[in-house]
Amino acid sequence: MKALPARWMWASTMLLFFCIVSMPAGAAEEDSKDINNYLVDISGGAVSAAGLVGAKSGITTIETSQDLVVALQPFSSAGQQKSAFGLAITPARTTLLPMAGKTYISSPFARLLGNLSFSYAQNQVTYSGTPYKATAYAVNTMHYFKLSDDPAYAASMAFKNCADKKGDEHARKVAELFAQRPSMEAAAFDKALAELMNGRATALISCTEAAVAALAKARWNSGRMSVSYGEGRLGASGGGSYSLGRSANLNAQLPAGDKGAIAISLRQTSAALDTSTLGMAAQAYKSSSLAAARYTYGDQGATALRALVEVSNAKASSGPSDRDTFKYAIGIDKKLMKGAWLEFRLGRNRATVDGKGQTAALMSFNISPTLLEFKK
Amino acid sequence: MTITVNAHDIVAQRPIEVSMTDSSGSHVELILLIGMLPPIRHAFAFTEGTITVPLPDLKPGIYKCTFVVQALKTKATPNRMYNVALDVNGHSVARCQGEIPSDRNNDFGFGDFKLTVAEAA
Repeated sequence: MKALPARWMWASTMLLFFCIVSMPAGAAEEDSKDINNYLVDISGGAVSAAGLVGAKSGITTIETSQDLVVALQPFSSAGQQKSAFGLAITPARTTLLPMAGKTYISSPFARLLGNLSFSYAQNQVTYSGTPYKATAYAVNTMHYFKLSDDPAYAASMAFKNCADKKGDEHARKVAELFAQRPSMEAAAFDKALAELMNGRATALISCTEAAVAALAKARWNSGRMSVSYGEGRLGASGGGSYSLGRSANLNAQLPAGDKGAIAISLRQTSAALDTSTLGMAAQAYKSSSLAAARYTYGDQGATALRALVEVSNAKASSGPSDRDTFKYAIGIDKKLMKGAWLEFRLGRNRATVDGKGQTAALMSFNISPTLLEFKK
Repeated sequence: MTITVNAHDIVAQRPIEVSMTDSSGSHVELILLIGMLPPIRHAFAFTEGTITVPLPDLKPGIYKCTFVVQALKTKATPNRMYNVALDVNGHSVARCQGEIPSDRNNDFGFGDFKLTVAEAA
C-alpha cells in the first residue's frame, strides 16, 4: 500500500482551499451578498439507489454542488454494506469562506471555485467473511456554460426583475403615505403601512417564485459540466490497507432542442482493487476507462416524464466499478415529486462475477440530496 | 413590522452622495425618502453589494429623511437574515440587521433621521 496518493489528495485539497481564501476581491466581502443564500433544486438527484443494487448507468447526472456524493459511488457500492457515513462541504457556501455574489459571476473560474465541494465517506464492508473499513475522499465542482442558466444567479435576478417591474409605483405609494404621516393617528399609519408592505411582499414573493419555477422548468437540459476526482481505500481490521482506486470524472450536458439533452460522461479509474482477490497471497488491481453517452427526451414539469437511450464502452475487462455498467439501455424517468424520481432501465450489461453479457432491468428510486439539505 | 432601523441625524457637506449596502441572506428592497425629493428605491441582486445613488444637487438646509427596509424570503432563497446599511458621504447614518420572524415570509421597518446639508468648506 502506498500512502502517497492520500497525501497528494490532502495537499491538493488544501491548495484549493488556499485558492479560495486568497481570491482577489473574493471571499468574505462583508458588504456583498454571498452565494450560499441561493440553494435551488434543479432536477432529479444523482445519488442513485442503483449503485447499491448492482447494475448502473454510466451517466452521471450533473447536479448542484451539494450533490457531489455521487463521486463516491464507485467506492461505496461494492460489497455488503453494514454502516455508512459521509459528509460534504462546499466552502464557498459556508459562513467560513463565503464567496460574494459579485465574485461568483466574475468569471467561469470563479464559479468553478464557488461550486467546489469536498467530501468524505466511510463504510463497513465484508468480503469473504472478513470485515473491512472503506474510506473515500472526493473533490467535485460543476459549471453552467451560460451564466443565465446558473440557479443561484437566476434566482437572484428573478427577484430583482420582479421588484423593478412596479418598483417606482410602490416607492411612490410609500412616499405618499409617509407624507401623510404627520396628520395621521399612529395606529392608522401603522395599519396603512402594514397593508402596503405586506401587499408588496405577497406580489414580490409570488412573482419571484413563479419566475424561478419557470426558469427551472426551462433549464433542465441547459448546458453544464462537472469534474470530480476521488480515491478510496480499504482497511483491514488486522492492519494493512488496499487501494480501492483513484477515479477522475468529466461529465457534460448539452441541450438538444427544447425537449432534448445529450449527456456525456468520461471516467478514468486506476489502481482499483479486484476484491475477489482479497485473502489471496497477492491482490490484483485494475485500471479502466469508461465513456458513456445518453440522449434524453422529455420535460421538467411537476410530473415530468422522460425517455432515454444510452450507450457505454463497458467491457468485461473493465474495472470492478465499471464492469456492470449498461453497455446499452433504454429507459424512462418519471418525476414523482420535487427531487424524487422513479427510474426504469432495460438493457445489456456484464455480470460482475464472470463478465458475461446479460440482459438486465433496473427499477430505482432516485432522491436528490437537495431534499435533505438544511433550510435556514 | 419588527425591523428596527437604527438611524441618527447627520450633517454633510455638498455634494451629497448616498450609498446603500446589502449583505443580507434574504431578498431586500430599500426605499430612501429625502424631504420632498422623488423616493429612491433599490432591490438588490446578489451580484450587488454596495450601490451609490446619484442625488440632485441639494441646497443647504435641513431635510427630513426616512429609510424604509423590507426583507423577504422565497422558496429559492430561504435565508431569513438581513443586514443593510445606509451611508451619506461615507458616514454611516442608518443600519439594521436581524432575522425575519419564523412565522412570516417578510418583515419591514423604517428609521427617521435629519440630513443637514452644508456648503462645502
